[in-house]
Amino acid sequence: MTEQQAQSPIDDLFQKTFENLPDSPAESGWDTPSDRVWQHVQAKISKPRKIWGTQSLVLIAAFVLVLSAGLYWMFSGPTEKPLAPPDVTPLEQPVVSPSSTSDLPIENQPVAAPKPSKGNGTANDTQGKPAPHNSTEENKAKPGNNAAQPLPGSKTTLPPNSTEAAKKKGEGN
Amino acid sequence: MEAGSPSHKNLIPSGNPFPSITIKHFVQTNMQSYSDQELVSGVLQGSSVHQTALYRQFSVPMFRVLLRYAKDKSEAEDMLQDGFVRVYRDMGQFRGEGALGGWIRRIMVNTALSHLRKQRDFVRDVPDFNVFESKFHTEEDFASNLDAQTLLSYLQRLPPGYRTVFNFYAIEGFSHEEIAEQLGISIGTSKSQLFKAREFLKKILNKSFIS
Repeated sequence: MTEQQAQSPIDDLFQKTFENLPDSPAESGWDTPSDRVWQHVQAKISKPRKIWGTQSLVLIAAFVLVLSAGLYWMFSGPTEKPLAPPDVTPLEQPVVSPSSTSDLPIENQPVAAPKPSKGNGTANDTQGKPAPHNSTEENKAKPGNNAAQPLPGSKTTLPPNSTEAAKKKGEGN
Repeated sequence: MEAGSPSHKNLIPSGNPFPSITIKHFVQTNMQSYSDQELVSGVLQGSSVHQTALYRQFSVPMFRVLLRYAKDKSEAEDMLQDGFVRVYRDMGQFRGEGALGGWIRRIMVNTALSHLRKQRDFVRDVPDFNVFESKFHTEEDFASNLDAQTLLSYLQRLPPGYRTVFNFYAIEGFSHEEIAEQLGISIGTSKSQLFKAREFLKKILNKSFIS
């Protein structure tokens, strides 16, 4: 629009005709839009704006869910510290059959996996609990159980949560 | 545009102002006019009275502009509808530096361009002119009185690319560089489309004068 443009008579004819139209619309109505235009415009602009869309609500719900799960995980953990693993060097042992295991004295029999006890740690706490499952398969899977069996001629070291240790602890008290 | 007197404003009820009056009646009766500032502030506040007044004030001149870009009245109405929705939506961006009518007109032309760009290869050469000439063998087309409606009917029968470039150059006053930038075409293509549009219109006009 800055430079002088080469106008042809046709350009002038169209320009003057369209620029000099009267303000009022033509009687024939060729330059008046139909009523449906305004109806559609009105319908579009009168839609109330959603302050909280569905997407934002879903995002907020997901955030709250993740936050509450995190808080639950943080505060619902074990209140007591887990017991330290037994200070026993695991050694290779021959597989002991269940029959031979049952021949061992009760002190040397494998003990069930350590559980956090709510009591005072006496021997009574172990009573009434189901007997340990002494299958060979389970002993293979849990090396800690093998470590509880003494080697012939070696100094017996008791795990801290065994019945014997509990007895000794009770005597000490 | 003169501001309407306060007494007239009080006569217009709030809410849906004229439920039983059509827009055509609205436009023709010219009941109320507002200044640009009043219209803008009213529309921004969500006043339905001002929204209606804005449409009433600018629908006819904008429709005349869009008729030149569209191939028919129906397409121009679609453009007008989209254009006014944009106007109401973007009213907050009007800074009052120029006339409101000029700002609305730019939105309307941009809306027309958006519509035209959706058409595949809307700027292209149409080698066979005879195909289009055959459409003009009616009494209406060869009317000796070249009023705006007749010229518009000639313009609307141009291929979209010819029509758009002719509109931009001959009526809106854009340069070929600006047209090329707006339409995403080369300057040479813009010049070529303008030349062919003129040739086409010359043929039609000569025929109408002869008849």
